[in-house]
Amino acid sequence: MQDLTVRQLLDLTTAEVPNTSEHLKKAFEWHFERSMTGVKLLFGAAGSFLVALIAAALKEDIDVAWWQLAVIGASALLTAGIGMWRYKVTRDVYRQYFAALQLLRELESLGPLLRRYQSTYGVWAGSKERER
Amino acid sequence: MDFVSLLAIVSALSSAAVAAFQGTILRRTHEEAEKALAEARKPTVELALREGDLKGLGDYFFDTLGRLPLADYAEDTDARRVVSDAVRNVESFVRADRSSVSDGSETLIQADAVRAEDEIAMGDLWAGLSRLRRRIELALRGAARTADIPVMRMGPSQLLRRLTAEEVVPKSAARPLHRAIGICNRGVHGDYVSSEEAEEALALAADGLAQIGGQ
Repeated sequence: MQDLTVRQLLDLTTAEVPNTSEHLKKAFEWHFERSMTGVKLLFGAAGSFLVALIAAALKEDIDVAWWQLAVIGASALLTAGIGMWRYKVTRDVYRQYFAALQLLRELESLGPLLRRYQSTYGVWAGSKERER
Repeated sequence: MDFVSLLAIVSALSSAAVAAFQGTILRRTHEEAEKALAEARKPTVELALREGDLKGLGDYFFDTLGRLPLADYAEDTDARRVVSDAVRNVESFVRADRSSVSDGSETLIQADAVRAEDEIAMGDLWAGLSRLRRRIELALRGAARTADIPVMRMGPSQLLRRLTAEEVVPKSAARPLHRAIGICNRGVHGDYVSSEEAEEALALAADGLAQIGGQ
């Protein structure tokens, strides 16, 4: 998942839109929702491995070997572990939001200068990041 | 192949792919943040401000600081300090009430003072006006030193007010200098200044500085 960068705050500063903190809040809400979708997908995948295994084991005509049980169990654990880690990262996004809000306030005092830079050297000035 | 074997293979492959993908993203983001932070620590802002290099300054903000992930900025106190220092440095430069002459840079500024005229003539107004403002501040500091008036880190406007009050700068010189500083401040702050206004600032500064012997 693509992380938010300082670049997005600079773009918000030069965009000349009213109520930039509301826009920042919206950006973080999107970021949070996207991130939570990934978390749900990971937990869903881990759960579906286990459900499929249990369903197969309950069928009388299917014998589950120990290695199959180990591989499926480990895969489910690994996937759920990654999901857990992503959930923890996503849960802490509020800290990023507060830090970003503070930085946005500081950057706003440089708004006219940054806009002057963009109007002098083009709107896409400073777009190396996008080219990459 | 039976269903459970297929399930084992699919689950193993997909979890390994997810782990590899997350690992790669994490490593790349970390490397990118480290690279951006290493670049951000270079004294680019000081150099750009000294040289009146608006492009260098903007590139530093958009291409170097801009690459820093907000997650790293929020968690890493060093990253926060680097970004804050850069913002504060530029903010104090563009603010009208702060000194734009950094310690030890007086000789350098005096040596290339004439560049302000060339830059304004070439249309590089931000560089020209920031250089002109420093030139005025420098002349005022010289006058304050001669008159033995402590001025500490006052900006050009405050300096001018103080020196006018102390009658070191005559009112006939203070008026054009005040107007010239006002135009410079607007330009340096990033507000629109026409070429005619910039030329006017040059003429006003020349008039005022000539009267206080700063030219």
